[in-house]
Amino acid sequence: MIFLQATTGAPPGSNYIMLLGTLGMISLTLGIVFFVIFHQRKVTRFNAELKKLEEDKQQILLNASIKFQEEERNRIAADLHDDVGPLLATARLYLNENMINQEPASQLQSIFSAKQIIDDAIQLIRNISHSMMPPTLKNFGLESAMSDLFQKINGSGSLNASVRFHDYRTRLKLEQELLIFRIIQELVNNIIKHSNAGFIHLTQNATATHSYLRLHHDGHGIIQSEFDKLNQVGTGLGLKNIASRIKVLNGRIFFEIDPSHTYFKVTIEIPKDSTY
Amino acid sequence: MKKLIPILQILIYINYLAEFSPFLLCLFFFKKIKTAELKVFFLYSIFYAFFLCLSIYFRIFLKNGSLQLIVNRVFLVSEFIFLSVFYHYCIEKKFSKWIFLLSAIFFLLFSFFDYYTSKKGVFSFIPLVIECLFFLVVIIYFFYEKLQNDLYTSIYYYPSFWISVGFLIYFSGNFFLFLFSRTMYSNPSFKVQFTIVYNFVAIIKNIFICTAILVNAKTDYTKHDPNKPIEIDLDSFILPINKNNNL
Repeated sequence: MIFLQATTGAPPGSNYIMLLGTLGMISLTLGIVFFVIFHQRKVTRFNAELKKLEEDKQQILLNASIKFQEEERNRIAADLHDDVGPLLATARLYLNENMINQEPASQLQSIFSAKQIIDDAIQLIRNISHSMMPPTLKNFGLESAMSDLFQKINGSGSLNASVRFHDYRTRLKLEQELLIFRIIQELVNNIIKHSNAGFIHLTQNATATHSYLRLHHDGHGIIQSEFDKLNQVGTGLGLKNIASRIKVLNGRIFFEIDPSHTYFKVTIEIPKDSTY
Repeated sequence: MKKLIPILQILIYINYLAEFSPFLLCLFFFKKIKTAELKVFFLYSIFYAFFLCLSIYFRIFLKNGSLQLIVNRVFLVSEFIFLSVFYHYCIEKKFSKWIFLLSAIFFLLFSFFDYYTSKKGVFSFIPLVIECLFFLVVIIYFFYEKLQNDLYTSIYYYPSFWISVGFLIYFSGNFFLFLFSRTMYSNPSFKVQFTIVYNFVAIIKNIFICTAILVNAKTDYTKHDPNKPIEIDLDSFILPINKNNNL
């Protein structure tokens, strides 16, 4: 009751007013706080659901477009390999028969040249077919496909390329491997075209949940902020394709320069249990 | 009333402890203080602890009332400035941001004016009431802005929300107390009432502030940063020696 005593120098009942005012203000405050919390929770839940639906939709669209692209590539690869190859081989046979009426010396020369050209064409078609759906990747996995790719680059003699897989005991899904292969292929192409690098090294490692790949090169590279900028404003499709493939894989890509400034690094992080 | 004195003493001591706790927690979780507003708040907590020590020294050891009044006035202005800067960083709308900073300057000028015009030797509660009113409006505006802009993260994940709740309770709880102090502070029963309400509300404020610091300590600001470097040891390889390249 001590709080409610009348006071001198102030109107009677001031203590009541003050106490009730204080209680009222605190109640009002608590009311505001609870309203803010509950209303905002409602809004965030609604938006999170909306965002998830939007992301799912985007993911489905991306998956569909990439799957379609890959299916189309497979079809072209099969057509080239099964139809164009045998046709050219048959053409070579016809050419051999028609040469009979010519002079022997020119016959020999023509036949030799024609054979050479057709062989080249067959080889070219085989190469196209393999680049569209690398058989090594399908049959032996990412590690072998990468080794193959890097061996070919190394064979050119202008670039020192090497691969080292630290922990690839369990293969990722073929779809994931194909996407990773395409990403690395694009990155390597960019390095060869633009960076003037002396070496490219691909290294792989894994944790329980993620698989990691890192490309090192000593040419002129880009860092993350430049990648983001080029990805947004650039007109080229290469980086955009990389970004969309990374998105489909639910992964991350990070471009950086080594602290010693001797080489650039591109790291890819892929979750093993990606829904793709 | 005499029976209440030990209880009041305990309440005051608990409040002293509570007043120091944000500073101590800030020191403990110093490395986690990364955002600009929390850095301002950390400075405020240092300042608060310093003034609290000074206030205790003047009150208990020096027993100099007039010096303590000056300390209180300086503290009040500083608190207003710190909180204005704090909300300057919390609030997104540019116009409001600068209004807060300008209001701190106006408050400083008003405090000088009040100091020279008010009765000497008596604490003037008018700046306190103005501070209460101003920050009640600011905090409600802060909540409004959060409701408008933050559509994906729950508000209670923000340390600034808990700090704001603490100050909202503090200012709203003390508003009538400060308002009536002008006419009733000489009344002993009011003083008891003042002590109980003030200390109780201040303890609640500090509990919320400590919650804010703990929430901040648990927040991983780099978790959702897309530009965070990928941390995995993939560099442990021997650089291939290239004949064409002098590496």
